[in-house]
Amino acid sequence: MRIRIPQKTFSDVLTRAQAILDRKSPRPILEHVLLEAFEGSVRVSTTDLRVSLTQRVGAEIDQPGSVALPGRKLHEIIREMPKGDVVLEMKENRWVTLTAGKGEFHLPGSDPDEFPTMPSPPDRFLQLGTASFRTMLEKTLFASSNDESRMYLCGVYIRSLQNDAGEPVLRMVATDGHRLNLIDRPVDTEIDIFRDGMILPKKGLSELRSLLETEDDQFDIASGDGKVFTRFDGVDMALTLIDGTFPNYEQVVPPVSPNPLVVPREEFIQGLRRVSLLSDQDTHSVILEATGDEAIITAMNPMFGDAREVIEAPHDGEPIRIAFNAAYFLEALKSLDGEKVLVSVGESLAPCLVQSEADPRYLCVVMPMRID
Amino acid sequence: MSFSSIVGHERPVRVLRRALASGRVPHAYLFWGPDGVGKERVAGAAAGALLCTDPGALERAEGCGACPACRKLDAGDHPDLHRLVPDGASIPVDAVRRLQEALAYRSFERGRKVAIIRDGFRMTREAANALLKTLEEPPGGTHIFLLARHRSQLLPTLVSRCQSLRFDPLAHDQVLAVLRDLGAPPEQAAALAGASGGCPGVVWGEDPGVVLDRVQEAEDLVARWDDLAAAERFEWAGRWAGSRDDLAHRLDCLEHALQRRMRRTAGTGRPDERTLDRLDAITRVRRWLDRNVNVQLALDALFLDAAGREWEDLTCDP
Repeated sequence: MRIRIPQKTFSDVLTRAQAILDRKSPRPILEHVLLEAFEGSVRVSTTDLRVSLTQRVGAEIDQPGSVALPGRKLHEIIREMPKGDVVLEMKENRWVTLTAGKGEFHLPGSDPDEFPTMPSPPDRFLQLGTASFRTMLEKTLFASSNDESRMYLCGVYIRSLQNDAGEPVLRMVATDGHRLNLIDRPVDTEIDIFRDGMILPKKGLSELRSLLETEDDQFDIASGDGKVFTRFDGVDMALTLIDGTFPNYEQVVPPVSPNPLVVPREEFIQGLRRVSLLSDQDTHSVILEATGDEAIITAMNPMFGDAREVIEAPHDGEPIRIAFNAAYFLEALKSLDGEKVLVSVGESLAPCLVQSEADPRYLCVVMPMRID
Repeated sequence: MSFSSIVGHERPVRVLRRALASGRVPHAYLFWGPDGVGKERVAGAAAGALLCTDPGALERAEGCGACPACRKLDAGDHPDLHRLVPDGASIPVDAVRRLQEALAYRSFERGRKVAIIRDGFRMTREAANALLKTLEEPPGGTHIFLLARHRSQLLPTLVSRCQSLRFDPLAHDQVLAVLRDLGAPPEQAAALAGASGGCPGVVWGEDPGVVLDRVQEAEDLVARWDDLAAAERFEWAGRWAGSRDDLAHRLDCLEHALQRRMRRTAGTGRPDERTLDRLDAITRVRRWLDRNVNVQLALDALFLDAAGREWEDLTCDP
């Protein structure tokens, strides 16, 4: 195997591959990248068995072949190499020589057969809008859980369904048990692969979101063998689904209150930020009260003191008094668009619904805390 | 690894193959029996049948040995076979959580997922409780093989959620066959088999000369034990405590030598209380060692005959 590839191209490909490399796996081969040189191009594959990434880049192939190389070291070396072409050549016993300018590096390669077989995508791909899908991920991913003992929450639930008007929509839901985000976006035709709903892992979706920062309007998506496949710009990604049943989220989403509290979003964010400086360090608990034309946010910390801020917010309904985690509320508010947000509060311990006036199809639900 | 290459263990293999062939494979098995008896090999054979991509594999209760999945299993790098091995003396809760995370995903190669937990009794209490959750609500298409010396070493809540299969020590001929299969030359295999106590895994890879020395040492000790002065007993304990890697096998050899003595004296009509007591002491010392008791103190107690059945009368055994 002998290839010649521009340093910048190779470095970019390996940077993307880094995010997938497994750092804590008992299988050393998963810390490798698989390089396969065909006619006119090189395929660079990485997998941690949950997210698999295959990138195709143009290169001058003097001699085809394949080898698995330690991913992190290879990346560090290529990143530091001078601009221009890098020559990668496999010698005896899979020793690989990297040459650029006057520098020469030798790395021990591994048998490519030891590398897991990359999942093969089905024949049929559907097309989805890049911008819309990326927005949906941005508005849900942060709400998914990191608790590995409840893996079914460590991802985003994606489902295609019809809205009340009978139009096809794609829905994403994420929750960590304390808050829940739900977003619907219209699609041209029903995305049948998501008809039954599936839970996609957080790590893979984060990678997908960064890959989706492309100028292409659309990308390809498919599903099969317990995986979701995406394809665009010579990059193939396969996400292994999380096994399990997603909780019945519809039960948690409260109805929109007929008299919601209407709060200017930016003021609310700034106020909450300031007040939460004196919230309890463990619970981040702040109290929101609303009567008449104003909303009052208060926080109390037995060690450091207390804080109170008033925001002008018209409210027609019953007086409100709830406590909640300021961090969750802030994240929800930041993810909303528009100038005004609507806060629907039911009984004291019922879930609280936050949404933007401008986008009724994106809902944030925050579970309140008990006020002692 | 296939069932046809397994020597002995007729009952567990029969039960397993019946379950596999019926397609109703329990989600969790507990294989219990002495170290090195072949539990992991049998679990590997079951994993072969479960993960083989040949459509008839499950019905045959045997992997085909030729498909990519079987080849990966033989090479030890099948992505859907997860092995959990102790990290030193214990299996920490983090390791169990990592396994649970891995099992929470759908399989990588469009089939089932298998986890083999070696020395399951080494799980810390937190680790065992964490695993309990997976055993209570196993992810779909997942099979867990928990291996242990004795089921009493595991939390009853774990045991009750697994189908238990007991593995007995192999007969001398069977150990010989296993060692020969593994590639031991005949005369070495014979020497090692004699010192294996029916568990080929204990002696496989050991130098036959060293193994025979240990057997001889144990025989000498059993013959002279009663006459040893206190200072000599401490010396024995000190020497054994100094080479911890061999300790488990030395204790095995001692146990076998005591068992041989029991058999020799069985016809005399006089029960050999002292030998029985020492056998009991070995079991107790092993348990202590698993619980990180000071090795020197445990062996002092063994050689001074202070760890036998009287122990429970003297103290409150943990």
